[in-house]
Amino acid sequence: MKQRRDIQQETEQTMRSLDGVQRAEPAPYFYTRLMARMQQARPADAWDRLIALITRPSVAITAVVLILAANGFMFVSKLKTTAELVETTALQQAFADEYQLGITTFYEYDKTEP
Amino acid sequence: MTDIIAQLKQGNEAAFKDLVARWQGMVYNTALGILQNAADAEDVAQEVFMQVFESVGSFKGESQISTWLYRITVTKCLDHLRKKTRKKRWGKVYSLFGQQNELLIDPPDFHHPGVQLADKERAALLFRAIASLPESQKVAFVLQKLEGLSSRQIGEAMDASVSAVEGLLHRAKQNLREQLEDYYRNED
Repeated sequence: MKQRRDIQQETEQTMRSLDGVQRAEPAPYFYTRLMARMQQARPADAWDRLIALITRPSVAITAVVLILAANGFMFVSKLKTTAELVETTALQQAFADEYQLGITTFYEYDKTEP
Repeated sequence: MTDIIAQLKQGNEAAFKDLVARWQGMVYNTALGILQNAADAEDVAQEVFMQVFESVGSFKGESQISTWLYRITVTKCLDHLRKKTRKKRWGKVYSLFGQQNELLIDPPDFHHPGVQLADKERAALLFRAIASLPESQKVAFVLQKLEGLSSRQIGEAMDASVSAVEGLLHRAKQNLREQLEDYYRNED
């Protein structure tokens, strides 16, 4: 284990290690490489920008979540409607049975008589 | 200096070449200090000059060219770092499913080419500590140490007040000292 004073000395010496540092220069022919890249890079057209937008993870994930939420909402509302429909049908059936609305001919009416 | 800008606005290629030759070292050195990777720094330096070429029309000359260039460089570097962090995070997710990803491997120590040979190891250690600083502290410290900017110039480049920059530098140095002390304490 080092002494506290040694640690502080080492730390201060390391903190000063960038004093007098020379400025780094890029590799030679930087301008040539820059011009080559600028000529390659064409301005993005509308389709490129649209594709770039919709393939961004945040946009894609949001879209998936929205679609799933819409699906869920549709499913729940459909379930509710089905339950209501069953109930209404049952009520209509009970009403029809009660008043014998299902009988359309005279002969059938006879058959249902006790 | 305003001549260069005026000529650039007219689409003069010689003026652009002159601007690149004059400022490429400054832009590259700043990017290298923040990104700690020569290939990434070259990439970002190219992007900076591409943006300068495209947006010179909107440069009103209210600030110096160097300040404008520092601002673009810092913004591009931070974007690059965020992109890299995002990729690294996704790499970790992919590795959970058994896919390998090279970004998961920690990069080797960074050696700045301008550091004197005697200080090489210490500077590498300091750069490792700088890499773990929060973004704004890292930028302020690099601009001060590698570019020799004053607090006022750093403030102009970072769009912050002098007192805010001094606060950032103070916290950066404090964090670096803590990290280095930890390192030396546990070193056998």
